[in-house]
Amino acid sequence: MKICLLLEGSYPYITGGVSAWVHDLILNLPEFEFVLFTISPGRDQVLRYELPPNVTGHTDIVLTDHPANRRTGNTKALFKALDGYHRRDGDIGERMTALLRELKPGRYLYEEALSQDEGWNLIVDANQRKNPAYPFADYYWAWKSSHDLIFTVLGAEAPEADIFHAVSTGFAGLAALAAQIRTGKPFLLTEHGLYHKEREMEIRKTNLVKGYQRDMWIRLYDSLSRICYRRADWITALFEENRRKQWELGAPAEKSEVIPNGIDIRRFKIERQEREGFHVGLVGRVVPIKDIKTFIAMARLVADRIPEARFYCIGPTDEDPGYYNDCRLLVQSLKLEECFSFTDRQNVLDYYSFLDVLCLTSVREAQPLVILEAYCAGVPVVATRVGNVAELLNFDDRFLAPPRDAAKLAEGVLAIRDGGGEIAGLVEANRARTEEFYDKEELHQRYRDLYRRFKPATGGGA
Amino acid sequence: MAGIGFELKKLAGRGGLGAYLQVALSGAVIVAGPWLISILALFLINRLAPQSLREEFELFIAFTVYTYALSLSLTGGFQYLMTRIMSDRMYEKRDDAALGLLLKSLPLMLLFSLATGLPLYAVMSRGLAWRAAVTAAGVALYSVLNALWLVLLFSSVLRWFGRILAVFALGLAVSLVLVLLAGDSGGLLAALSGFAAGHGLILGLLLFLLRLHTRPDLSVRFGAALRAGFRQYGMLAAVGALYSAGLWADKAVFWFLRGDVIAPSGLRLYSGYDAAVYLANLVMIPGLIYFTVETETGFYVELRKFLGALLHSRYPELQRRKFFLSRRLRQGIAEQSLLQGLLCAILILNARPLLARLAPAAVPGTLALCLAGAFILLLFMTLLYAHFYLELYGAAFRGALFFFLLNMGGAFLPLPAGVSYLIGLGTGALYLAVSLRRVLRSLERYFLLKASR
Repeated sequence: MKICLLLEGSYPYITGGVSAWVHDLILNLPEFEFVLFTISPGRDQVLRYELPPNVTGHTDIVLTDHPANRRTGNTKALFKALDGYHRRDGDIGERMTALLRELKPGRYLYEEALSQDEGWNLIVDANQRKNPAYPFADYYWAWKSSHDLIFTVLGAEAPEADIFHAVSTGFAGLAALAAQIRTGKPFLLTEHGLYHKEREMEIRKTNLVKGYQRDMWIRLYDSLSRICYRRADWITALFEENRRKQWELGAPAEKSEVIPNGIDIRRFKIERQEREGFHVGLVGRVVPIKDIKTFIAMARLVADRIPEARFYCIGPTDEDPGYYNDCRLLVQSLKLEECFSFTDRQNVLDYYSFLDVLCLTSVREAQPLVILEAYCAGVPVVATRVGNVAELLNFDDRFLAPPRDAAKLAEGVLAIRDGGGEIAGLVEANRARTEEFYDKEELHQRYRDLYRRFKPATGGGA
Repeated sequence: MAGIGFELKKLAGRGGLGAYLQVALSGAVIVAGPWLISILALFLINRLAPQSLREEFELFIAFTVYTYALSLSLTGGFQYLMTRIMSDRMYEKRDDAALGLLLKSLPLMLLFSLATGLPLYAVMSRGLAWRAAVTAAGVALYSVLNALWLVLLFSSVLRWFGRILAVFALGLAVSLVLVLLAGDSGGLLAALSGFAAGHGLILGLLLFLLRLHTRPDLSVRFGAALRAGFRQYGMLAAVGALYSAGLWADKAVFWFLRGDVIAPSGLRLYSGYDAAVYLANLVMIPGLIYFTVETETGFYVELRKFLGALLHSRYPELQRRKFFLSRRLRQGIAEQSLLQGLLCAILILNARPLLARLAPAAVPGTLALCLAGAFILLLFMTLLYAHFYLELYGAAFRGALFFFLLNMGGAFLPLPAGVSYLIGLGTGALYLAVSLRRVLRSLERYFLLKASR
């Protein structure tokens, strides 16, 4: 059986939680053949993972590319369907089906949507209905830039597969949906974070889009998620809170389940090797989303109280050289050079064996594997309250902090240091819970079962 | 050219007969300077020439007419290209760079003139006494004229209308004096040489005035600018070449199919038609001035307003500005057509006495056709320039192609002279009108699509 994994801005070009999850899934399901359909922001990206032998194909499309048309078709019918889609005439799935019936792979509407009267009238009409008070040219450019991305995805042809498994909504989900409608094969959706929420956060933070254009982009991403939820044959989330948020946007409860992250319990259940002093570590890439600067600030506060404390930032430093440089300068300016180190890529087990606390200061997470790894290795955790972190930390406010709150994080670290027997008990309980609920063998078995359940009647293989 | 239109408009705004006269004269010189000079000169020479020149007068006319035909047809494309290249620099307030490019183009133009002129004039002077000298004089006139067209493009920047008028007047006077004095003993050779010298004086004085206005930047890389210009405006050059050649295509065919040989050379002229054409073209001048001062400037102003609205305005405002642009163009065309139509009508009604005095070889019917052609030519030119402003070079090329092919092809048919010219212009104008109408209807889409590419 062939599974097409549809990915946007992650595996195999970007390292991180999602990519590690995907890589693990492929490696641990060798009986399935996988083909990758990746959607990238630019060309010639470097592969960050060695593709396993059961990956037999890889199609990469660049979202900002404008491939030439390889096909024409009935323009009137196409724009009628496009107009119907925008006017929300009928069920969203039916509207998308009608549109994709006319819009075959190889047909890109970049020029056609503007040069044909029907397409142009659609834009003018939408502007007059939705944003008549704004400069028309602004609306045009916003419409064009958003729709060009959609046209690129809808014009691309997904490889042949028995199941299309998107690892996010957004453009990967859209591509999976298009493949489902065109081929009749199942569309499975797995979400780590919530794509539309993450995009909304980014859009609200940036100065590049403002006013109604910001709202337009947020609505676009919302609608991509909405249509994926409505049309996917099955949806998995990492934790219950996200699953409920998917319901809010129309995901049918009866077609969704939680399949949490998992780790290799056997690998991370290690012997502790106590080391003199007090050791606080953060396992993660040195990138803004991990908010290493807050970790550094927290380190200053802890070091003031515990002079013998040592701090480790364990993870690659080459992904954002500018940010890494800022962090180094911050370490210097806070006079932490003697006790703070950037280790770059390391075998995390070497550090889990002696760390007294694992700190996670991310501004955005889904269900971070590092917390599960730390629990399995017997390391207590202090973290920011993002994603599923609160649930993983049993909603214990002593060890949870708002994002960017270095003082609260420092309090949590000190509470662990001073916690004594209670902390030891918590550590054991966390380890037991991780072993029971977050074993990756269980995770992979559930996906194995899922793929077999949705295997098409005429599909072959595993 | 819109720049000169605005300047003339400012001048007219001062009011008074003097200002209007100056606008009329300056406008005439700017839009048709060398052409006017030649026609006036030929007219005066015909009236005042000594006997020896009279015997070779038709030959002199033939050489002059052929020189204009060759000059405009062969360099038309390059002129349009240089106009655009220099206009871009002037728009950037780099008059010095524009002048530098102009000066650096002159040697290239000279080389081209020699390369094309020497064989052509050698053929034209076959059978004539002092053949080599006549060839040289012809090539000199041809070369000066080729350079003069380019220099005139830039002269519109000068705004020294009085000085430009004076330069042309002086050039005409010198041409006349030299031709009349030397022609007495030297006949055709002297007349051609005198004519070339007069035009050469105009060229030299204009270059002097340009130098007074701006110090040229000679560090500009002409080759690179020309290559870049061809890449960006190659189609514009093609339009210029076709249009210029189209204006002469039927005449050239008639010379060889219907014309009379001007002995002892092999040159031919079709006097009846040629005279009518030149008269009709003179009559076009008021319409051309009106186009320059009113129609073109009005269109330019409204186009700028539309483009400004495109950046900042809501959709209804865009439609309003588009309406004003179309209306301004329609108004300009209507008014200049009215002016031109009136002039043509007056001339048609008085054709016989006029022709008797000015062009005895022409017949009223032919004059009527030529005047109708001049009327349509003004419309065609207006529509063509509108296409240039909107950078619709592809459609402009097709319009010019229709004109050229129908005019030239029709000239081979047994139709009255002037009919193929009228049909070619009419078809070209119709095509351009339809093309322009289509684009103007969705002008915002046109510009946004262009920007998207």
